[in-house]
Amino acid sequence: MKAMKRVLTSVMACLMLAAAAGCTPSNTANDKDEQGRTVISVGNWPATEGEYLTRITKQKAEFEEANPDMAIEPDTWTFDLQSFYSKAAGGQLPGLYYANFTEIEKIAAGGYYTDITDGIERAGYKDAFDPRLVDLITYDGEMVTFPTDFYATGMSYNVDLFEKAGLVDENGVALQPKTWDELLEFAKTIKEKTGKNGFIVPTTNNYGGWLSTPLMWSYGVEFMKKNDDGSYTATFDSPEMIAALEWIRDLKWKHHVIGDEALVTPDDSRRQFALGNVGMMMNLPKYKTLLNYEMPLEHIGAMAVPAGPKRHVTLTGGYCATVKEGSTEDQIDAAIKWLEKTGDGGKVTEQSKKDMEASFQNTLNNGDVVGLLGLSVFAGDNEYRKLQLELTEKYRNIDAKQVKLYNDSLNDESIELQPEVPVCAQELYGEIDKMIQQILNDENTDIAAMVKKANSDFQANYLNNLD
Amino acid sequence: MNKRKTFKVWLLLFPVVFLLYLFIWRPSVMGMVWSLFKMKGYTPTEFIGLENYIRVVSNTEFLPILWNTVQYVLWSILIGFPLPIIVAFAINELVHAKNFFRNTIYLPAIMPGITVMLLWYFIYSPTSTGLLNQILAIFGAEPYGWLNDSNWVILYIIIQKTWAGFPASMFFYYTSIQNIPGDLYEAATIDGAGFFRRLWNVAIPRMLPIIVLNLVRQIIAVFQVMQEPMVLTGGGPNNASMSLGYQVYLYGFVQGRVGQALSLGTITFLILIVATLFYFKIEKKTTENL
Repeated sequence: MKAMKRVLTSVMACLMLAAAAGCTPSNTANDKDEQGRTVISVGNWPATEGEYLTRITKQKAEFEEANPDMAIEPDTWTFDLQSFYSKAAGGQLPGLYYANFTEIEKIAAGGYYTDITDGIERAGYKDAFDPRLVDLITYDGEMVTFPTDFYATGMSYNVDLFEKAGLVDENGVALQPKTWDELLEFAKTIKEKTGKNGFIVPTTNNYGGWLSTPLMWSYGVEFMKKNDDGSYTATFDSPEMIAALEWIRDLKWKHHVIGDEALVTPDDSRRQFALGNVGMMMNLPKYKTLLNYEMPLEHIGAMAVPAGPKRHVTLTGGYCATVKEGSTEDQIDAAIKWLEKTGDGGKVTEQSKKDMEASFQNTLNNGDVVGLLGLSVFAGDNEYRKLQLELTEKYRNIDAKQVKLYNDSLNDESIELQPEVPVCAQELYGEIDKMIQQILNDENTDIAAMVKKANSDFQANYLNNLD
Repeated sequence: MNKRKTFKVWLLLFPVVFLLYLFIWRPSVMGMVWSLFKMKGYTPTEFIGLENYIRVVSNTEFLPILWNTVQYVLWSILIGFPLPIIVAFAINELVHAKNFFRNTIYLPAIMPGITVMLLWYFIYSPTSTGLLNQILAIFGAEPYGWLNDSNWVILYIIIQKTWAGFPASMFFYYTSIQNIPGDLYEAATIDGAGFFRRLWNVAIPRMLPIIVLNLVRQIIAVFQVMQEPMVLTGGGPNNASMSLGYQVYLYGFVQGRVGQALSLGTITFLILIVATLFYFKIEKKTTENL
């Protein structure tokens, strides 16, 4: 019995210690190892064996050899909202973690970052970033994150369906629909000549709202305005919004160029497109998912977003790396050096050239598309950009004419680049999703009344409740 | 019981109590307390009283979503509640192939939840390739929208949920039927009672506490429905299938409104506590009768 008591007491003591440890979050990064090196853990580390793991492990060894006072600690966590808040609250985020631009608002609002302004200056990146990005990554005068990728939303088209529909020029390059009305004509032609749907509109998971913003902006919609006192007013109860939604409604009920579904998940839209059932869709210049659905590479095409009656505009997005809350100056410096090592820094050296080449090779080895250009994270006509363009061309695995329309559009100054709305972006996309679902479900929807209600709900439920 | 024995009992109970405290009581109480605070992520920063609750309840979608959730429960009582009882009795009455039916009916219960939902996603596909629409086509009918129909989407989700969930309840009832003494059935049969008479006068009264217990458990479970609308409809069309549970998820994990997520969670908890108290009362009675 005594032995039993001792066992129980030990078990309880262990449990209490474990609980106490678990209940005491530490947001202060453990910045030095036993050798006195600055340690920074890095997220998005590959969790499975493969070429990527081999390559990044080699990069880690090279990095630690070149910087004997720094050490990289792999962390396989990748950003997802389900675990983000709990990890952040428990101080368990990787020292350097990656996320989409759309998450910057949450990262900043939660304070889950260390201001990297001084670190950026120490590393020689002061004023280096594209001015369009600076506002996006700066909150209350603090630089929240380091942008690593910057892109413009475009359109995907199915090369095979375009050819069958005769929507190509004499050189075999697809014709670019210049306006949304012209896109509608293209969609009708595809439907008529191939029997496939000309277009697809995702409508769930806030995706429809997100990808429809360029269409709505181009009709002249302004979703919100900032007031002098810092508050926001919803402003999309407008004839422009009604017109944009009518255009979407007519795709289904009047012209029959999209499917019957009112609920289209992002995966549905990508799958339908990859299977060759759809001619065109709004998309990011990211095509790995389509290849995962075994879409033949020679069927993938990318083009620019068409213009609307008021503007020619597209939505920008990107990816960024954030140094977690409570990090030291040494860790910020190590994080920026690591970003340079992995090809995300803006400096061009002999070593960084090799690192960037390795990065492109890795993209190819992952079975991804190389050939689509992004926007430059860094301002001006810099060396880094030139190297990026050079390597994109060198490792391109898709016929240039399949991506010409999209790549050329990035140099078209008549196309405005606009980031997503500054506050309540996901909530806005949710409201737009609901409206699109409604009009695709009921052709007799009173769109003006629906927009009025959505505008009023968005104001009352979200904009009036900003902290 | 002397003090030494009491101490030993508490000592034995302590690990369980401690784990309950750590994983159930503490998070539940902290969630309720934090719902009164302004939250920075998962860190409370400032006491704001009922502000989070006011935001949740004054949200123009709150009442429609609450009504949707009630509809989930009502449909599940109508469809999901009687079905396992009927099937359990039917299997019990089978003379041949009893094991075959018992095992095959249980198959949906061992399929991963997400697989079941994806399976039904394709069954309900509104295109002509959807399974149900292919059946409609045999009879010359046009494809129907199924989950796209905002008037009936909750019913369709409940049908899916019932398909996936009823085998487990069915076995619960089946075991209960097996426990009814055979001589009661025999006596009723000798007295000239047919199947329905035996069911009504012998089986149902013996099983009533278990049936009521299961009903309350079902109400509690369905009131928290989240995964099905999330996977099958995303809460649509136009919020027609949005539930309180899914709204808590959206507040907490998509919109980053942790305070509001905790408030809505607490509201759901308070609504369910009535059902839970009832459940405990029934459970006590059931345990006494066993």
